[in-house]
Amino acid sequence: MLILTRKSGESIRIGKDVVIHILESNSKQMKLGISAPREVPVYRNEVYEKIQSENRAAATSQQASLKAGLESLRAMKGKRSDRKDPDHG
Amino acid sequence: MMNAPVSQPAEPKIMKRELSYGEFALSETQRLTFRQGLPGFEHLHRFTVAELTDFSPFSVLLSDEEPEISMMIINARFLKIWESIRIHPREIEPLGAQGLADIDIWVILRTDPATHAFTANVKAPLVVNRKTGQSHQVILDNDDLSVQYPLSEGLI
Repeated sequence: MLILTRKSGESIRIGKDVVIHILESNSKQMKLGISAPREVPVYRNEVYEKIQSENRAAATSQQASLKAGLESLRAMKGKRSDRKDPDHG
Repeated sequence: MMNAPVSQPAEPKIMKRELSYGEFALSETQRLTFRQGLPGFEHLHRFTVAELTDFSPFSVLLSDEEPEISMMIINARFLKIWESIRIHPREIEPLGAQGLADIDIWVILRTDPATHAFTANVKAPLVVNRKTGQSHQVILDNDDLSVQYPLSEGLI
């Protein structure tokens, strides 16, 4: 990991297209401005890591659990349709 | 004089492949390309969307590069929260699409292993160029959107 020390008003360039501006800083937090091309997404890292975790969990959902879940949703949908047509059955 | 027969436009060819997903019957619908991969699977770029024949409108997103990687998905228009899933033009343009009419929005599903209850990640939907299959997963700013939106109450 590259470690740099910057003050408010200074900036960091990553590659030729991404610049991180230090706008304000104090002992508790720092305000950053990020200039990047539109096609480069910028995320809070903890949010990105959360999505990674969710995708991995989705990919490892067990077949049996998926099938049970689908059957359950289908049964629920069936009950809702019955309630909408009280004259049937 | 007999009129020359009018030729009908050719039906688009759908290449059917053998797709396996456990006991589920599949019907291939689209090929997608994620230039930047997916968070957690940044190395995977080519996927196939296949509808679960017996469980429409649920589909599965199958990796073409690592067949063991797959995720269940659903088109976001089947969710009650659909209108809250707002995609900004900056999320559409990199896919070569002109506007919302050119894209589909899918959400990834997962189940709770104990209850088998489905949830949908409406915080980070998949945005797909309908014509070209160019796609990416976007993370929306709206804090009201959850990574685990319960489907039991949320399906239209």
